[in-house]
Amino acid sequence: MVEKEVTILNRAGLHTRPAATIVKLASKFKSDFYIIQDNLVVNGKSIIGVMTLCAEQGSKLKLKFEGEDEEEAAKEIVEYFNRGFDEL
Amino acid sequence: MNSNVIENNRQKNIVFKGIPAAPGYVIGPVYIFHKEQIEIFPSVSLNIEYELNALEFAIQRSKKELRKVVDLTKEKLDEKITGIFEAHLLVLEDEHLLSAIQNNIKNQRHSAEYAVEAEFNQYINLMRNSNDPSMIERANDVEDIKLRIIRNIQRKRWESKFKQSVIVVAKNLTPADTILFTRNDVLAFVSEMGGLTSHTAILARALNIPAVVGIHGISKELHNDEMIIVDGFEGLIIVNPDETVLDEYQVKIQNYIERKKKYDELRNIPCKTKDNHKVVLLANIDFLDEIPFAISSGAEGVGLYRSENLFFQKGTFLTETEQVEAYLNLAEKFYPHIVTIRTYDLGGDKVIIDDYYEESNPFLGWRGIRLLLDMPEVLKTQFRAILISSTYKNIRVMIPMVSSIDEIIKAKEIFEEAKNELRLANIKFDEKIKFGIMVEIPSIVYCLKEATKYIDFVSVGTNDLTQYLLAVDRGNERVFYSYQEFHPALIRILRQIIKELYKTKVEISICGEIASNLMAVPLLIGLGYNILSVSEYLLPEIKKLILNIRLSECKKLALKCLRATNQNEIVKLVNEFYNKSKGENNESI
Repeated sequence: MVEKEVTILNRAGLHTRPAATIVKLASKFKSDFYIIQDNLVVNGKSIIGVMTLCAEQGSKLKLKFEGEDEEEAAKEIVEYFNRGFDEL
Repeated sequence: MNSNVIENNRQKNIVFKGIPAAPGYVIGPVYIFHKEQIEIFPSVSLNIEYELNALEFAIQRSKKELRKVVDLTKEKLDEKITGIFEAHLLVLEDEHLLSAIQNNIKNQRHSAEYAVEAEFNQYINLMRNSNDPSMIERANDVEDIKLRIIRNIQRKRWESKFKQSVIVVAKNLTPADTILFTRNDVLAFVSEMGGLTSHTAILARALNIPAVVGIHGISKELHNDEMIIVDGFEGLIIVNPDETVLDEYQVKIQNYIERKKKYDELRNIPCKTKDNHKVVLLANIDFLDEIPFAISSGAEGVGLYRSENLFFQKGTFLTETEQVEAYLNLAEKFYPHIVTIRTYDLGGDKVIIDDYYEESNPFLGWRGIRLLLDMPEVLKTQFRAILISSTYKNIRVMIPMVSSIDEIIKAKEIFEEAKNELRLANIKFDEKIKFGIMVEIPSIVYCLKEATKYIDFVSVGTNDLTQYLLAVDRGNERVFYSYQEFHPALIRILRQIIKELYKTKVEISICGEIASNLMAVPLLIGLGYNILSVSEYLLPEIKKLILNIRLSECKKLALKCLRATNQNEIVKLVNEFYNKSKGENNESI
């Protein structure tokens, strides 16, 4: 299992478009992927789940990857967060 | 009821006030868009297979409908907006969600529509529980997807086509409705629900269709085919206008069309030099009635709103409520673009305080931030009003005539006090609101590095900077010739500002008259200024010029000007450059 903490960097926060990209990225991998915000755990491969997260600029999220390709999945998805969803 | 009867009973000029969601003026007939209410009751189904098939059919049908919306959006608008609908399409492919719905049918023997309702609502309720307006917006979008599936389970259709040009009036318009309506000739959108940040408002702005939202009960107040005026600048609906009001709006429309024609061709072209260097053009605003023109000129925000004009109009300081009204007006109309509000810049040549003590040197006296720091209650009220107006997160605040770091620290203390008062009173504001200063006194230029700790941006005011740098009163006719806009020292200090802030996060813009001077623009770009705040009526001309020049050549021009020994040399250089660019411009036409 791989656990990472990420910060939302872009001004608009985790809005619908990046939510869709995260799900698309995650579905390329076999590993399970969960996003945790405070007490809320959502399946990172479910768009409607990711859309329930209210994460504005500056908020911190925990990402959990579990499965055979967890390292690769973590690398690619954490990178996308760190690029501020390509909106910086 | 036929419309003549209504006409006779109607009062003249009934006005409804809403939120101006997309700019423009329109006079036209009403088309009321009613959506059939969908009702779902918890029900047990005897035929699980039938329900699963109905679900599958509805999902496929909904996907087909949404693909149509995506295609239409791609055709009319940009990638970013298409992304919203693509995400909606992904919801229909969300395996996690779909298997939850299927299990609900299998295990609880619910009907397909009830299973969809129950599973979607878990998420919708979570979104609605959040206080964030964007989450409520998202909940509405997901609700629209849910209703689409349920409608398709029930095998119903919604009508979104009509023949004549109309103003669409609805209780609620979803983004998908908004897009689908554009297959007709829509003059304007009016809705009861929605705010400035709703996806529908964003779409209407992108489609250039005027829209007014948030008028409670409007769909019941209006009747099909009656003529109304939609004022997308003020957020007004005028029903049954009389001759005078109609004439007034005909003039407004005529003026607007003429100016818009000039602006339109340029507005949607990105403002870049030939070698692809992006320059941001913002507008300077003195009075609120300049807003429509500033918006249609293609300004990407307001670089300077001179709030002291409010003071001059009223003759005294405004109350918090009066200020909030003005600032919100700006924030709403320019949303999502940024609006920079400069706190009152009084004193100098702009004094009208009753017990004003006559100064022998008012320009070196009680003015700008000095005056405000001596009236902390006035400054705090203004800060509070600016903060209260910042909920759309597109307002930033700037203080004038700063000469030392101490002044910044003192002003920020008052700013923090204002924030704390609002927090205690539970009044929301943008916690990340940006704070900036005017750079118009030479002393602060040489303290900028230290100032970066306290500020997010600077705006260079060249008029005062020139007068303080050259020790020339620009209002004094005797020495006016010494006021040199292109004095070598001014060009050098402009370069110094860029150097001082190099590699810091502080954003630099320039808002003085020099930025609105066509000949100076290439020089400013060459010196490193990428954000120019200019007069709205010159903005299209400035943009045309920028599209025709190269950053590499602007840099060379700047280098030459930095080496020049007197104003004449510089004027000659910028003139030559300008005439050359203009020549190229003519050729390209």
